[in-house]
Amino acid sequence: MKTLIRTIVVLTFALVAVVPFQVQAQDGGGMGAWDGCPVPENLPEEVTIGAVFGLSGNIAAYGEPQKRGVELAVAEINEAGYLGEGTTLIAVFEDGGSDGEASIAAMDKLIAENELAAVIGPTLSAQAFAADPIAAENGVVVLGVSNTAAGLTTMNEDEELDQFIFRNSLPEANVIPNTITKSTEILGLERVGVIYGNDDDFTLSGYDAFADALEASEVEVVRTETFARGDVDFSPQLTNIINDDPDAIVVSALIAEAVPVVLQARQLGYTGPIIGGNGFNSPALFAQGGEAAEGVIVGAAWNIGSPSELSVTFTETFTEAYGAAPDQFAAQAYTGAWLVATAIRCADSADSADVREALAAIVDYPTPLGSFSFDETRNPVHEPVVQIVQEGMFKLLTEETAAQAFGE
Amino acid sequence: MRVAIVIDIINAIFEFIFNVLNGALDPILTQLAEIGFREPVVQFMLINAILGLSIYMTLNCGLFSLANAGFMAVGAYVSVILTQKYDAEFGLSLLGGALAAGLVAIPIGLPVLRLRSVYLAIATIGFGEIVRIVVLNVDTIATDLFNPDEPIELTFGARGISRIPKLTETAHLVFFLILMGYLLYRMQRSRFGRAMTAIRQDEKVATTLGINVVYYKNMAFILGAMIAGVAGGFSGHATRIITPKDYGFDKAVDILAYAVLGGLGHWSGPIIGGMALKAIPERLRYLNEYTGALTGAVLLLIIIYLPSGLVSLGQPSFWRRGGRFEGARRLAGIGVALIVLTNMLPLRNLGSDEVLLGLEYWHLWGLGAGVGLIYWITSRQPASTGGRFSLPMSAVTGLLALGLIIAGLIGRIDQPGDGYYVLVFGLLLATAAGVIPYAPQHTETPPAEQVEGSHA
Amino acid sequence: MDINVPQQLVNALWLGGLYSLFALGYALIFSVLGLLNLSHSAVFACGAFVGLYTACGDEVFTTTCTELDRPIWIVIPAAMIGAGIVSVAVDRVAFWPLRKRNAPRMNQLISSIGAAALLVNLLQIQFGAAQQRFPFGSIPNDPVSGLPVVITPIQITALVIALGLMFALRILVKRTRLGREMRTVAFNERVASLLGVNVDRTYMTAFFIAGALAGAAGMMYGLAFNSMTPFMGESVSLKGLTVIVLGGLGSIEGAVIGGFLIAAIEVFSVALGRSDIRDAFVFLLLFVILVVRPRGLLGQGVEDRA
Repeated sequence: MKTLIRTIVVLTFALVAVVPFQVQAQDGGGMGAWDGCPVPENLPEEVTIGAVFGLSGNIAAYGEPQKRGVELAVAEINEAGYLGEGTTLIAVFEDGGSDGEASIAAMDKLIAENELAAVIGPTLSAQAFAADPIAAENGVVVLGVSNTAAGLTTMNEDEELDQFIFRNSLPEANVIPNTITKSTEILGLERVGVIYGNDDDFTLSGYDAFADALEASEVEVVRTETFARGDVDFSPQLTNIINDDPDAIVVSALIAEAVPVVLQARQLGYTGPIIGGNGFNSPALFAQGGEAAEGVIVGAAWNIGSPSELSVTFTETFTEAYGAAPDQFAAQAYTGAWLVATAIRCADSADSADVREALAAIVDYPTPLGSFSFDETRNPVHEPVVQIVQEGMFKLLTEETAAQAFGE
Repeated sequence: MRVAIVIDIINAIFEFIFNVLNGALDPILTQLAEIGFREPVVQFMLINAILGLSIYMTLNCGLFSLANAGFMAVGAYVSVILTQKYDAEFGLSLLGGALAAGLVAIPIGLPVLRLRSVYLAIATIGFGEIVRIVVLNVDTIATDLFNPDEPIELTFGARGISRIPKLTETAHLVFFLILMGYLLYRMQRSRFGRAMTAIRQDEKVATTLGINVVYYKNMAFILGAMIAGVAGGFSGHATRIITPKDYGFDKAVDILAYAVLGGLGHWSGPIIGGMALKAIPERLRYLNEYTGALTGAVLLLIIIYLPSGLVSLGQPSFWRRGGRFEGARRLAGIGVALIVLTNMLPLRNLGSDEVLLGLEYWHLWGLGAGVGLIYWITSRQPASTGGRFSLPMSAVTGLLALGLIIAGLIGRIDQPGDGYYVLVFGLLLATAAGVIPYAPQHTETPPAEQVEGSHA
Repeated sequence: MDINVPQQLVNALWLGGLYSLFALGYALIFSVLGLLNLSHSAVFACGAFVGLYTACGDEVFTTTCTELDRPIWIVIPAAMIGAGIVSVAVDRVAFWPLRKRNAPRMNQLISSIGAAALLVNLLQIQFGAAQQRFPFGSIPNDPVSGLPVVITPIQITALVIALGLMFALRILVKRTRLGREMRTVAFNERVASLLGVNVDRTYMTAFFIAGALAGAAGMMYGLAFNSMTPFMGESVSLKGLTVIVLGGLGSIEGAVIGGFLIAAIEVFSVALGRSDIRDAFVFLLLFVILVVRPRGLLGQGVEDRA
């Protein structure tokens, strides 16, 4: 009894006690210089970029990895002297909260208080629609690293303003058709069940892309189910879907809902493929899902198991610095910071208008996401990947990996 | 033809008013921006103030309604659709939003307003959620019902309506608030206002006095809904995107918090409360991930130590109360809260070892021990009677404290992090002066409540 | 359309158990104080995280917890006691000063929200916003074999614990001295103190029990769904409210029946193919019940409640 009481006292204190946690940047790693541009000479001693991420509340699960990605990139950039000797890149973070109002306030404050070369963020597409125009109106270039909604980079009435809005996050509409064609080809899907979150813009646009892609591939959708953000029990929907005996279950969800969906589908005895989009692309899928995650197919913008050297180094340094493997949010934010730094380097100027020109001109830049370019509407161009979870790791989806997973 | 001329004249008048207002507002906005409240934030504060007014309408009539977030959604969607799809002028679209919210309020109000207290609150929460779910699904359902071939796109579900032109200007909001403030001021003195007060104080008595309780309750509900609808229209045209989740349960409760925080003794209470609840987290922004926790704590402290809301600071009766040892007890109350907080939050990581006006971390522990001792001794005394700081003394310290609180809030201190500490120190001084009643002997009359819900 | 009725019944049954367990504490506080305690969902999350910390120790701050340091039969009571303590603290900080002053209910509602915001944010500071889970196999997850439907040991455990706690609470409130005191306080605080009941202690006990129930519910959620965040209470909070209104505000049996009923409505609205407007059914029912029969299914009028 006494030990129990002691445990409890310790616990109560633990709730109150403080674990100071400071991030130390790691040495080495990084993407190194891009041959495209010479070392800049005219940069001031300090070049500031802003970042608006959701760091408080629910959304911090996505905003926190983004912040880490940018911090890591900035540390590496300064370490490598990427912007030339004597020039330091500084990232200023503002909490964009989880709604439009908070991101507007954050963006406005950042731009007013700093001389910014560029802004990275905000976390949600809805926040980008609210806050990006402020940056554009002030002539500051803004790079979304997790906004996947359609039409994001052409949101303004005035096309001139649109010129300032970039993103490096592949929209669902670019990732998902590829996922569906590839899995249909390899697994021979004929009928699938679909489940998606209908009260969230990310999962909803994911669903739209899935629905179109499935129709294009002539796969029959036997049942469509929905859930709400924050749900934890998906068994009723999954029971319905499994009852119809589909060849695969297609899921459009963020990782918070993705894990329980996968777990519960397996629990209900479903062993077939589960197909997800960008939202699934997180190490949490196998950390939280364990064996249940085996055979989950994830179409995404970045493959954590990618053999590309940049991706491997990034994964290693990130894991070393933060004690946890990076997810796609971190990878895209990290890439975003490098892209902005490269634009500053190429422009040889900290003025946002010049940085804008240089950013738009980036072509075939090697990143952890692959060889990267912007198209004429400032959307990213790079190859999406289709992965399958095997032995607690993401592997590329091929005939062989599929055969190993499903024994066909 | 004649109509066109009238519209032109009205437009000209409004243009004139807004020009004048803009001129007057410019220096104020510059000042506010200097202390960290830049124009977008000021706009959201003013929108909150309008929301505060909308809930004041219902609470002033004794109605514990949480429907305002739902009405705000109706107003926002209708007015945005009017400007986007039908190119309506801003004023007209706001009016449309208000009317739509008012129209929805009629069928909701009739059955629901028979409920009392918590039951009414929960029923209106249910209403708010239903509005949210309808907005989410109206496109798919309408498409299924009417036109399966071509999708109907009205609210765009969870994607929300984006690319809304930014039409809301600070001058509009100020103008609307002044107008509403004036109307409310007049209303409180009118037959209408007196009837509402009577209903709030005692419904049965009001009925026997020949007041048509059902009519006045519904009027208050509808007016509140319309004001919330206008606030929705303003906010939609300020954020450029509206999504259903902006108007959920959280928002409903937030709006209630404006009223409670500001105080219901005066119509300006909810306005102040609404603005404060936007200002406090904005002011505490530099605390990053600790902002949320501290905002919650400040909300708690204000409710506990300022029971009649922020607005009570301006009421003379407030300054004349106090009790023996109450000051020390209050000091202890806030002191302990402070100690707990500073230990929970690693404030020492914010830049220096100094936590509070030159005090170092271990000083705070000492202070905590001392405060605990005072609390222990005073709490053993019999109930407080007489004996306190003399009134002038209390007033002087009180003013000093107020100054510090305000200074803390607006951050007129050299280092950016100091605002919070000054705020807390001001609160401490205020309690020491006995100006913040924590007095059990002072009881507020709770609104008439009944557990059995219906049938007024 | 073809519905797997037995499986959906199982889904409804055990989800109902969880809803009821969560709603019990809510209902207890309402019956004693006549107060909506919106911090209940935050206490619920605290319970889950106290459980997680007891189970895994400091590991939870850095990585995913892979094995239990302490057996699950210690973890569950620890979570309950931890959440109970948090709940009492919430009472002392957020409700007691207002109660003393006889402040309006509305103020108490808002102060409970302030307390909830504080708790949830502290949890986030401590544990981060990312998902956490109990180690695999804390309670075996493989379906019980030989049945026509899928039931896992976790589901059975959760249902058994939920039902057990419900009966325990019922006995406590109806049969014991403590329960009598609580009912007296609920009826009238002044009368209770005249009768020699220690009112303050009764409140603290009620809050402790409610917190412990929330803690148990948090643990069950954590174990069953393996998706714990500091915000896990948010989505249940509104459900819990619906449950106690449906059952009858303040009625213990009502909370139980309401929990199973809401779960059944949710599950079968999904089973019938309308998962998109599932929540609309729930809230519409809430709305209609309040308008037609505000006392809920089992609620009583004020006169005969003591």
